[in-house]
Amino acid sequence: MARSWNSLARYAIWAVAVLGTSAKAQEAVGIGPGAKPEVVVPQVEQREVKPAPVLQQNFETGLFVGSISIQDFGSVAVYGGRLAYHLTEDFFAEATFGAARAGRSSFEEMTQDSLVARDKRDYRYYDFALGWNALPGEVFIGRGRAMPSALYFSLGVGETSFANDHMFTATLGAGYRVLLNDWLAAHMDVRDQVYDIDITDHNRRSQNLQWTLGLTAFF
Amino acid sequence: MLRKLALFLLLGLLPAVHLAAGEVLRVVVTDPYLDLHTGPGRGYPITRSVPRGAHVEVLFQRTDWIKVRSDKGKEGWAHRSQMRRTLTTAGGALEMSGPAADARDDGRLTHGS
Repeated sequence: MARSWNSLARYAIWAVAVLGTSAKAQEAVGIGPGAKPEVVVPQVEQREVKPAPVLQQNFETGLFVGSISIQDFGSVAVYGGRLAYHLTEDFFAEATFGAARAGRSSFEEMTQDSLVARDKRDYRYYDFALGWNALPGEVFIGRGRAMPSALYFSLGVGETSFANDHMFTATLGAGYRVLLNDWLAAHMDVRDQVYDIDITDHNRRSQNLQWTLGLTAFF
Repeated sequence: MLRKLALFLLLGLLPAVHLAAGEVLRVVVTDPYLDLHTGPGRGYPITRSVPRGAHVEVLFQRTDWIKVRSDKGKEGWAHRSQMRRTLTTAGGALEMSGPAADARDDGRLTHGS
């Protein structure tokens, strides 16, 4: 008899334990009577994927060659370089440098005299200009190829070194740019450099027109 | 003189070399159409458009214009205002230079209030 009471008590304990556990388990998953609804918290955190930023191409650098007419000293070859930063689709800032070697003036040819010493005939200049892409357009080559182009104007200031003197220089220019491909552009540029020079002991305004052809690379 | 010129030419065109490499960035068009201009400016005509849902490859950005290539291999320039409404393949926004996507809206709210 004692043995059967013993087994009964053991069954009762097991039953209570099992019921209690299952109730707890039901509450834990939110389906029991006293369960609190619980939002499932994901264990896997979403990985943040950051794509590479878009490649910027606002700088333009290149070289040019052409001809400059140094007032009174003839037309001579000029070469130089330019670095531009495109601020917006309309405006760009540009730094230019150039070099040439002045020829002989008509006076020097006639009198065999020298106004400027041979070693002072190097003509150097640099300037900073603001450009405006005024007329966008396209160049068509054949039936299947079109290249974007732009006619631009520029206005700048700089310095010219010539005849042992450094002159403050104002520049006024216009140019035509054709984009040959994604990174290469061809330029045709006309620029007037204006400064005051006093080779003959009195100041006179000098207008120096140059035209150049150049290639530039965007980066 | 010629030697100097050759040196200048080499130095001047060196920056272009970095364009050769780079990973391809693809985005999905979410506007009804992505207008493609022939050049990087509003003055260049729109000759192509890419419909919503189509993918384009982002090549590079110049000022406010982004050169893209469609799945059909057609290239053109899209304005950043439209490109900022595209989605990358990861579902995020395209990272471009210039003011943030909502900068203009924020500015308007600030000035209007």
